[in-house]
Parts: sequence; structure tokens; C-alpha cells
Amino acid sequence: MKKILLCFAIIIIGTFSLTSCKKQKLYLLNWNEYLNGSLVQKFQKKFNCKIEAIPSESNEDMYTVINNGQYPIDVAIPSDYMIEKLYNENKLNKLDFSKMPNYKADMFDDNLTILRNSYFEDNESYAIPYFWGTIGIMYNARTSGLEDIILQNGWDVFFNEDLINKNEVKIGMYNNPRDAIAVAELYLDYSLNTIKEDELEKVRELLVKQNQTFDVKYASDDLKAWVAQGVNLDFAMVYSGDFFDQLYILEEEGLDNYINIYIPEKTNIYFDGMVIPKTSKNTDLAYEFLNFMLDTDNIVENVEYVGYCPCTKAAIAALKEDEYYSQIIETYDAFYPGNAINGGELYHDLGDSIYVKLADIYRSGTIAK
Amino acid sequence: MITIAIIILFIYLVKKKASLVKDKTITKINTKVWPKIFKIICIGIAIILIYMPIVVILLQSINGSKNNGIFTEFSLKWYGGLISPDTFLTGNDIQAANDLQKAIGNTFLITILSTLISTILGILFALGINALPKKQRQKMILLNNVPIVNADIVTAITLMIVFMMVFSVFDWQLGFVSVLISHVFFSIPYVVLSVLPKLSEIDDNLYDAAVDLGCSPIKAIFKAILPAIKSGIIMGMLLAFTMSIDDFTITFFNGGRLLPNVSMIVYLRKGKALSPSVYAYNTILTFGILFVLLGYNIYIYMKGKKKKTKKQLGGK
Amino acid sequence: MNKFKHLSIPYLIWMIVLVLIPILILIVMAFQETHGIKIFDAKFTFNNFQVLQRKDILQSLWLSFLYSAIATFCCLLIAYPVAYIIARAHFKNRFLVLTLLILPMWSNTLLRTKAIASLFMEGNIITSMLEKIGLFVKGLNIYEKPVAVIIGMVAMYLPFMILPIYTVLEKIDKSLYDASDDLGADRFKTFWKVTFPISLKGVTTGIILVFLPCATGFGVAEGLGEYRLIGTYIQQQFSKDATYGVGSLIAIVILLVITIALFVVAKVDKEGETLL
Repeated sequence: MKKILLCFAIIIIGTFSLTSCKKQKLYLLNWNEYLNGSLVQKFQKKFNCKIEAIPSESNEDMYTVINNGQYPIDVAIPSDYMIEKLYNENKLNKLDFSKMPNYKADMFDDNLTILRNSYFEDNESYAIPYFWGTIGIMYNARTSGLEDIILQNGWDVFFNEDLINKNEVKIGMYNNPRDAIAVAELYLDYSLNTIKEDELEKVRELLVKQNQTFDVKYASDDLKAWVAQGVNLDFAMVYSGDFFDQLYILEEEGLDNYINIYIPEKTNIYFDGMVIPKTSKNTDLAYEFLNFMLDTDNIVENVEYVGYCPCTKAAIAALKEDEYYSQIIETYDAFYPGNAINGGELYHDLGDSIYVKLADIYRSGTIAK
Repeated sequence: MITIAIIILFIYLVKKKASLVKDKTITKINTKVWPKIFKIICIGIAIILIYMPIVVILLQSINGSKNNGIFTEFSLKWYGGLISPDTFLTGNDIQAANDLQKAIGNTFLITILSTLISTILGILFALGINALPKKQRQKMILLNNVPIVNADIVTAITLMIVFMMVFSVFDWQLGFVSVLISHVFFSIPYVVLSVLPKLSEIDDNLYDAAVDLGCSPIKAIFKAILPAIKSGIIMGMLLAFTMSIDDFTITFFNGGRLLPNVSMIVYLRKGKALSPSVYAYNTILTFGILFVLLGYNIYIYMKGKKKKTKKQLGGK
Repeated sequence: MNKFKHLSIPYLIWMIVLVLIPILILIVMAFQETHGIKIFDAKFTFNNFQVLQRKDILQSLWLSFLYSAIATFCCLLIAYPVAYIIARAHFKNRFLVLTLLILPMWSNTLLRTKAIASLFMEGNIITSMLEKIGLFVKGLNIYEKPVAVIIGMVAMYLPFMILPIYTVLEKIDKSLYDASDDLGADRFKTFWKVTFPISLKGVTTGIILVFLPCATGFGVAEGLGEYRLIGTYIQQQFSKDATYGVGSLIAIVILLVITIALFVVAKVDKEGETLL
């Protein structure tokens, strides 16, 4: 018995000591497929540390992880409205720009700067933009007549049964309440941040009617693959970056390129920003990481993996020099979100009670099927 | 195709065995056609339902495209990506495959460790429970059943609560330890349950006799008790392994983000970062082992037949 | 072997620490308004109970019940004959049967769910392969529909129904059949009077093992496009909305159902023989 117990003690002590490695650790809370692995290697080598990547699937999930302190997050990359929420709840460290030599106040794209100036006060000193994008309609150009209808009517195609054959066309919507409701708000010409009761009721009615009329499928990352598959969906709302993701896959595999994206004039613009939450224990290393990710070469390297539009002027200029990306930028307006600056609106933090309401509205829509 | 092959093999084996044993009821069944058809339909439906998704995964694993809805060409590159991503894959696929390799490593590390630990602990606990008086024993079995019957999500949350309270006191982070403990936690009951019936079958005096004959207590357990409950232990290990290798919910809530296993990767990575090599991994895990086991069984069967014929020859 | 009695004490402590105490904490949290686990400085409240009156939660509970009841029934319908056939076929290689049933469980549940989900889309790997040969077939378009969810659940949990029934049927003494036969009973009567009553033990266990994960799990239903079940809701409370109080409350509602199930198991199967 004693020997067995001893063995156990050794195993348990061994595992404990294994977990407490000596290297410095940077806890990075990030979306999946949102950071080039080669950059991770480079950073780890340069600063002799280990990046512990904590994958996340939604902004709300990131909030929970930061909020309940399960992991000592050093750097997180949430989207705009979640940054605002974290800021409102006083969960972010104010950034010390003197620790980031690569940072210059005017280094970001002009259009992005305009957007950020209109955002919550002082957001520049809490977050550093990482990537940005818009919401658009990704469609299968082989479906006859669909392309013209989408180009002419924009968001109307999601709701207007006169435009499309409701028995044949299959529609994809994001399965998170905020984005699904955004489409209805864009169609109804409301603000994306509306909290007016009557407007939200109209949105609810619209979503219910949409679900009763059309064949609507709800999913998250599957949407883009289903449109690209060719049969499963005819068009869907996607983040512009998701479209390029599929585009690269189709091109890489040498398949016919029959998918396209259209960004209507009125749309949602989002940016994801790097923040240092107050849970951070290794703040110096976190600043090193932020600084590292502001280097133009690193940004370009990251774009090659992620495929979204970078935020700094220098990186965009570098992409325009690149043979492949200059072609992409020329062909697809959607790549550069600055093109949608006139009709684009950022999400704001609306407060928990509104989120519950949005979830409820979304739900009554999906139930109506 | 493979489903059909399996069905045929299965039915063949069933029939072969059945025809070997000349039992009254069996001959009765064989004389009628309808029961036979009913039999085939039932087993067919079950096998199709159970094996259909696995066959789809097999097809996806030999597909050249990353979009698993489009079949472009036959390709084994995802299998190659499991072994050496750098030589068989290109571009961003390499990173995804590397991450998958790590996840597979994590899965097996956790699964094997937790299976071993929970088997040892489970045997000891089962010995303890078996020695209790009847009333207490039934109460312990009731308690033992809690993690089996309990919803995964509730188990996950309750474990998370404990870990967060204890770990915050000592300033530890969720991670390897918490994942391992939670896996051991939900594996032990299966081992206990499969060992207990075997323990109750063996003679109470077996252990005492061994000790009287000069064995040390540990030796007595190893020499007298363990051989008698071997089949229960194997069953328990198999179940513990099965539960642990496939777990998602409990890992997710208890520190699995720092130690993602295959299920976590599948759940969290829906886009390009999920390497199709995962289909290859899954196919190897199921069909590989399936064919090894079938082969082994056929081998044993043939061997048994040979022996029989030899004996018959010898008899003559 | 009474010497081993003390070995059950660490197990008791282990179970109390990891099962009973957290359940108590869960109950405390149901009365608190908390974002995160801070049971000592959270506000006491009854507000969480309003959730139980909300229409969507009630609908979630009802849907979860309905789906899993139908799925369990279908499982039983398929599993019983299969278990019966295997058990009576004098198919002695128990190990092979078990591996044939257990092995599919080694393959990842989420991947299998995704595979089934893809079969329920119009375009999938199989239609795409057929297209290569020149056959243009369209798949079923039932993704997100209740039928799809139920088929998925049945496919995932069928082994959990077959195994316990098979375990019980296999243990029935073969001489019982002969006795019944000798006494002049026909096959149907033998089944109804001898086999079926004994097998009820396994059936109960099977029903519990299928019904509970169907009703409370979220991976399978989510994979098939059904996000309205109660498992998804609890998971969201804990991982997305950070409303731990509400999540705990619903978890306790589920725990009540599970407790009933536990006592049913304890009643029919005191030694837990069929719970495998």
C-alpha cells in the first residue's frame, strides 16, 4: 500500500512541477485563426517566453474569461463594443505609449481614425486596432439573376419576397443576436445601436416574417463554407474577412471562382483591438507584444495568414506594393473597409438589459420557423 | 461500401457462430424467412446509424479540398499531414496541422494518464466499497453513479466551481492539473462499476488465504485478487478511455483552453484553422482499431479451428 | 477482505468534495446576483427565479424533453431487437460485440455530429462525389429541422441503449428458455413471460443513459443547428453571458430530474450492474 501511495505522490508532484515551467508566459486571449503561428514562434524566440494562446469564439466569451479571472489574461483582442463594455466596467489598463516605440499617434488609416474619433472618449488610449472589416452579402454568382438583384437592392434581399424566389433561394444568417438583428436594422434604416422600444418591435416582426417566408439557416463560421460549397446557400451575411478566407481557399485549390461579396452602402464597420486587461500579471511582456504587432513587417506577415485588412497606413501601402494583394484590393472593394466609411456604423455597448432583449428578439425570430 | 462490408462480416460471424451451436431455438429461426429478414433489417439499421457518420468522416479524410462539402480529388495528404505537416502540406495548412498534432498529443497524454490513474484508484475504491456492509455499499454505489448519470454540463460547472475556489486560494491557474483531475473524476465511477460485480463473485477468503500462505498484502492483491477481476478491469479501462478521449464539455470548462484536446479544436475552430487531418486522425482511430480487432478475432477463431481439427486428427 | 473497508473512505471524501459541496455552492449561487463565482460578496436575491416564468425558458425545457423523449423511444425501438438478436444468437464473442458498439464512441462526437449534419444539407461530400461520376443528386434539406436533430441523437446514443439491454439479456440463464419451451410455451410467450420482465432492468438503465444526455447535452443538438435546448442555455449562461446565478438555477432544475433518475436506477439496480 505504502509503495503505491508513494508512487502516486511522485506522479502528482511530478505533474505539478511540470506545469510550473520557468519561462515567462504571455496569456493571449484571441479569436481562432487570428494570429500567424510563425509570428508566435518569432516572438517566443525574441523574448524567450511562451505565448499561451487561449482560444475564444465570441466577444461575450472573452468578456467572461476576463471577468471571472480563470486565466491571468495579458493581452486580449475583443471587438469594438466589447472594448467599450470592458472600459465602462473599468477592466482595462490605460496604455502607456512610451513602452511601445513602434507606436505613432498618426500611424493608423485615416478612415479608421475618423471612426475612432467618433467612438467613446479616450478609446485611443485603451486599445490598439488589430484588424478591421465590414459586414457584407456573400453570394454565389452562379445562381441565375441573383447577382444583379443583390447589387441593386442590397439588404432588401434578406426580407423582400418580391425580389427573390422564396421557394428556391436559401439564406444564411449569423447565429449571434447582435449580427442577425443588425441586418434587419440596416434594412429598416435604423441605427445599429437603437434601443427604442418601437423600433426593436419592428425588428422582431421583420425577423419573424423572414423566418416564416424564407428558408433561413443560422450558423457562424459554417456560412462561408456553405456559400462556397455552391448548393447549400445562395447568399449569406458574412464579415468581409470571412469571404476572403474562402476566396483564398478556392484560389489555392484551383477551383472556379464563383463567389463574390457586395457591401451595401449602409453597413456595419468593426475593428478588433488589442487591450491589456487589469488581470494582466506580466504587463511588460504584454507591451512588448503590442509593440511587436505594430511592426509593419509583422503586420504584413500576419495578413498573409489571417487575410483581413490591416489598420496601419504603412501596412496597407506595403500590401498595395505586393503583386497578389494589390490585385485583390483592386478587384474587391470589400477588402478595404475604408470604402464603406460613409454609410458604416460601429457597434456600441448597449448595456446588459438590451442584450437580453436582443437575444429574446433573435429567439422569437428563430422559433417562428 | 465499408458499412456494407461490416454488415456482411457481422452477419456472417453471427451466422457462423449460430450454425456452430445446434440449438433448438436457433434451428427454428433458421427454418423461417421472416424473422431472418427482420433480424437483418434491425442490425442493418443499427449499424448504418452508428457507422454512417464515421464513413462520412472517412470520405472527408480522403478528399483533396479543405471545404468538406466539395470533393475535388482523391488524396491522402491529410494522412501525411498527421505525421509530418511540413512535407505533405503547404501554406497555412501546415500551422493548422501542427496545432492538431499538439491537440492529439494533449488528448492522448490526458486520456492515458487519466485512464491509468482512474483504473488504479477505481480498483482500490472498488475493493473498499465491496468490503462494506450491504446498506452502506448501496449508498456508496448510489454516490458513485452520480457522475455517470449527471449531465455533462452540470458536472463541468460543479468541478469548475471547486477548481476556481481552491485554485484561487493557492494562486494556481487552471490547466493540466485541473483537466487531469476532472478526467480522473468522471472516469473512476466507470472503473468501480465494472470491477464491483467481478469482486463480488470471488471468494471472500481468497485474500486471507493468500496472506496466510505468506504473501505480503500487496503481493496478495496482485497475485490473488487482480487475476480474478481481470476482465472487469479491462472493461473499466476501456470505458474510462472511451469517456476520456471523447470528452468536450468538462474539458472546456476546466482549463482545456490551455490544453486543447481534439474535441476543443473541433468545437472552437470552425474555419480554416481546423485541419482536415482531424478526419484522418478520426478514421485511423476508429477503422484502424476496428480492423485490427476484427483481424485478431478472426485469427483467434482460425487458430481455435485448427486446434480442433488437430485434436480430431489426433483422436483418429 | 474486510480489511479493505477503509479504502472507501478516501472515495467518500473525494466524492463529497467534488460532488456534494459544489452542488451546495450551486444552490447558494441560485439565490445570488453574481457575474462570476464570488459567493461571499454577492447580493442575495430571488430575481433569478423569474427566469422560470419566462416563456422561452419553459419552451426550452419542453423542447428538450420532447426531443429526448422521441429520440429515446426510437433508440429503444431499434436497440431492443438488436440486443435481443445478439444475445440469443449464441454469439459468444462478447468482447467483439462490445468493441463493435464502443469503437464508434472513440471517434469524436462533435465530428460525428458534423458529419451527420452535412448529410442533412443539400450539398455534401457524397453528392459531390456522385457529381464526379455524373450523377446529379441533391441531399436532403432537413438541417435544423426536428427530424434531423432526432436522427442525430439516435445515431449518437444508440450504443448506450444497446449495451445495457444486451448485458441483461446475455446474463439470462439459457436453461430458462428450455424450461419454458418444455412447458409448452411458444416463442412469443417465452419472450413475454420470461425475457421481457428480466430485461426491464436494462431497459430502464438504457432509457436513462439515452434520455439524460439528449435532454441536457448541447454538442449534438448545436451541431445539427438546434440552439434552443436547455443545455445550450446553461452553457451560454456560464460561458457567454456570465450570469452564473441564472445558470445555477437551471442547473439545479436539471439536477432534480437527475436525482429522480438516480433513485430509479438505485431502485431497479441496487448494485449498478447494468449502468455500463
